Amino acid sequence: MNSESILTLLILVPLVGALMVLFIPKGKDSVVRTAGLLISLAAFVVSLFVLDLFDYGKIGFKEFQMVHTFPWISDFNIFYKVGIDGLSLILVLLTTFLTPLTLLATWGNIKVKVKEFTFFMLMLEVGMLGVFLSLDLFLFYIFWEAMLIPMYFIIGIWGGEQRIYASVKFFIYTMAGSLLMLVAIIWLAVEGSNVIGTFTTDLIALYAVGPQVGLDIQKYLFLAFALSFAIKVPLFPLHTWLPDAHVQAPTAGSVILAGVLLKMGTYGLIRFCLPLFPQSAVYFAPMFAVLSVIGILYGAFVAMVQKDMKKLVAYSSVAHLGFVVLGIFAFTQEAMQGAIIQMINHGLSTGALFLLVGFIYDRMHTREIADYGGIAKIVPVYSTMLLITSLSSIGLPGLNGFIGEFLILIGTFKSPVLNNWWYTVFAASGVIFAAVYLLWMYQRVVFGEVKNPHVKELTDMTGREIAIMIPILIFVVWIGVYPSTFLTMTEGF
Amino acid sequence: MELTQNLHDLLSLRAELVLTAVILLLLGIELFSKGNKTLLRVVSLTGIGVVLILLFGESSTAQKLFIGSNGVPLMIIEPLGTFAKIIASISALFTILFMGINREDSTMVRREGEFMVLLLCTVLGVFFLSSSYDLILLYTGFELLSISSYALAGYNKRSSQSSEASLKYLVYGAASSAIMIYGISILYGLTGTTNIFIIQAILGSGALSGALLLMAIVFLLAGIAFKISAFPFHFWTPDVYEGAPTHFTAYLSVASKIGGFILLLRLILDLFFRKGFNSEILQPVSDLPWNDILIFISIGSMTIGNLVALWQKNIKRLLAYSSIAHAGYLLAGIAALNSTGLVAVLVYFAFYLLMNMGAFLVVILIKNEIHSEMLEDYNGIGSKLPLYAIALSIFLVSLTGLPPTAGFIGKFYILMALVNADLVLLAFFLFLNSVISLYYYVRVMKHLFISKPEKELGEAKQNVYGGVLTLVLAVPTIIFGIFFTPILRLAEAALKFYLP
Repeated sequence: MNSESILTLLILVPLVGALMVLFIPKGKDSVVRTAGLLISLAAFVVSLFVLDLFDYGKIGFKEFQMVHTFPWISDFNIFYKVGIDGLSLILVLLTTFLTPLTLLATWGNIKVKVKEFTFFMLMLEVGMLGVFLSLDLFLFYIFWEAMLIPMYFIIGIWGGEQRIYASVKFFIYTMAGSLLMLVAIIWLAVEGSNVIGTFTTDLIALYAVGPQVGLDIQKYLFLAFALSFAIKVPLFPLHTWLPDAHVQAPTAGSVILAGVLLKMGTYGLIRFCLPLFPQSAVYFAPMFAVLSVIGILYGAFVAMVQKDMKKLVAYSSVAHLGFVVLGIFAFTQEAMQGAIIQMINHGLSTGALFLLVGFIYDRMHTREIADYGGIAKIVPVYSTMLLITSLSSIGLPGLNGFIGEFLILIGTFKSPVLNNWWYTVFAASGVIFAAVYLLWMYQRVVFGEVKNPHVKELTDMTGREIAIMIPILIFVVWIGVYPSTFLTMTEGF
Repeated sequence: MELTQNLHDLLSLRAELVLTAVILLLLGIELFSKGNKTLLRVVSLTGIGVVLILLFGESSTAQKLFIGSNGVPLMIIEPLGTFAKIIASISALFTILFMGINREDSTMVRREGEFMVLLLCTVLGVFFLSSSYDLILLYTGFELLSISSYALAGYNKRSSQSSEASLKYLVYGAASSAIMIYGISILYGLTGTTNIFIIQAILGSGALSGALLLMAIVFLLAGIAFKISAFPFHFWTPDVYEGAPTHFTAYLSVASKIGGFILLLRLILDLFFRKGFNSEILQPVSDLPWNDILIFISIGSMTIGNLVALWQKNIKRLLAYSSIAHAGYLLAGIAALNSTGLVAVLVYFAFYLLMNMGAFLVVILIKNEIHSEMLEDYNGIGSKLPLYAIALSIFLVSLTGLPPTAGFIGKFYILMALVNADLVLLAFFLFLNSVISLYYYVRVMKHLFISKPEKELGEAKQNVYGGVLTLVLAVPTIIFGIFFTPILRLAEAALKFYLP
């Protein structure tokens, strides 16, 4: 396969697929579901080819492979330009891996407007892949925004009771951030035209420009970009849209939101904020580190008191992503690699938790922890899966979460930029709290006496549901036992 | 000699002459054939078609007409004016097409002729505004546009709202034209001439300055602000937009705005500013706070428009406030006073034509089916009338300025012009306003797709003609969001005598 255009092909597969889905006649829901699954699997296969073509010899910062480019708006040197490096690769794989699984997961609970749902999910995949692959700020911005609209509708149409409020809040929050980023992109490109003589939004050209911008202006540019990404992450105190969006979104929406969408914020920080504005990033590092530590603790405390399982998982996301941001702003090799691996971990573990909560919700139509209890004997397979996933989310050694958190904590401890071991102390205590809220939830849901008569009628996981979980759990163990496979992709950042 | 020259010049105004002929022909048909609908439509549409062909033919040439004894021309046909004429003609074309489907008032069908005649008179007004270089002639064009519009706003005879709209429009309009002509008279008093070129020369010599000149400019701007519905002369907009027949509202929101903008551009480029760019920025001929005035009106318009739009329950009023906000965005492009800004304004306007016309078209189509323009009645339209709902969403997303639609490109250009001109504060306001505007545009989509309808929508169905017309506007809105070089070239060609 031609390595020049394979990334474009990767974006085109779900895009063309989504358009094709629209032409399937009404009422053929099973055809639509199968088509959606096949299209997303096709995208996964293409991404495996990308993995195969990926040259591990050329790993490093600002080293992009398989670059495909052609001029788009020649007056302003705006390009269609896609390329991949280790960071993009690992996130692209996460995206193409999770999308078919989530589509499969919706077979049980999305019963209305299946065609539209599949269309939006595939468009979402297009947007996510585009964001991770773009090497032109203008192109990046278009994908970044284009992805909002499908998500808005996924939450708004197929969500829970408060879906309208949640979807509008999600939309306004993220748009406010990204419009500010647009201003900053243009500003940066204009600054760039003073340095290199031409206006361009080519990321690689701008990498040379950013560090030369005077610190007074650079700070504003950094903050504009960082704000947009921090909303997406979400970093405390910009996280308030997240619990609403997560709780109201349908399971598939939550999984993609937690699994991939949040990663776009941290990806943006690594890809754009740090290399484009290195001086400002160092300048603001303590502030971001403090906010992420607050996020870790705050997320954990709030998760502890939740009565709703989905809300609990949502707040645990705030804590987990706090780790990632802390790792990014530690500016050490270990912490950065830990942050990247933690992004993947969070995608897998939290995605799996959302799936499991979704499965049981489909049966009982409640997410209240108090409505459960004593399900261990009734649904043993489910209980086991929930245990493994919770432990992975807690960071038990041998499972994936441990690797990421461990690397981040070491890296932060050694960090010359932060230069203060209190960050590590507080962040590490967050790990303990994570154990508290997740195990406590597990205990209340799985063990104890059966109080709710409906619980007795629960059926265990179906073959389809097990088929969704198994691939995720394989990776959970794989990363935990042998992380080098994944760490080699991200060396040199 | 002079007579033959003038006659020759008159014949050079081909587009204007054809348009006048069509108006007279339509009047005749209306009188003698008892308003034969098909004939009226064929004649008016063909007429506009011919006018458009003529306009495109002369879109890159410049010709000075009616050169007086003092050596300065009364009118010039040049690309910028032609651009405005094209915009006005295209919107008239769509308006006539929309009229055919609008079922707001059953008596309208019988009076199509009157509508067309008045509509084409407004187009003629824009034509004169676009080519004239004499303040009196400009004012005449301005009034031709205004007075016909007053009548058209009240075209729904049976609706008291429509009559109210007409009267309100008339009163506001008369007041602001009066202010404007006062401004013109001050300028005449100061310089002793109404010819733009001579005034520019006098101003350039530095002989004039001070409060009186500032007053004249502010008064002139008052008239323009009224036409483009900019703050603080925007008060008529929501009532008139709501009351007027919707196809005319669509026209008003585009053609009337281009009339005001072409006048503003003319005054800036040929009267109050020096020719050419001094290090990328236009320089005023006399030392007046142009930047501050334009920035003030721009920020005021977008902020007022967007903030008030948040509370609107009627889609037409919502679009009216959105159109006030858009006047602000367009003015921001002019306030940059650099070449990117000028191109940005024209590019934005071309896209604005598509998306605003499109939005009003869908409003007409939906009203035909559900007999309402209240947002709460839009609940559930998405599943009942999917094409209309999707198209309306595209237009609204484009008005918000999100990719991948044309509106995004327009906003991108304006932002770029502002950053280039170091107007970061104004860029920041534009950003803030876009965020505010998100909320109400998204709210419309929420009603269309997400909210559950309270009552059954009954027999609502889409028709082919409406669908095709919607697509004609919606497809380019998307395509120009990705590939817009043709529009960019058009805008640059329109400014070729002004750009460095």
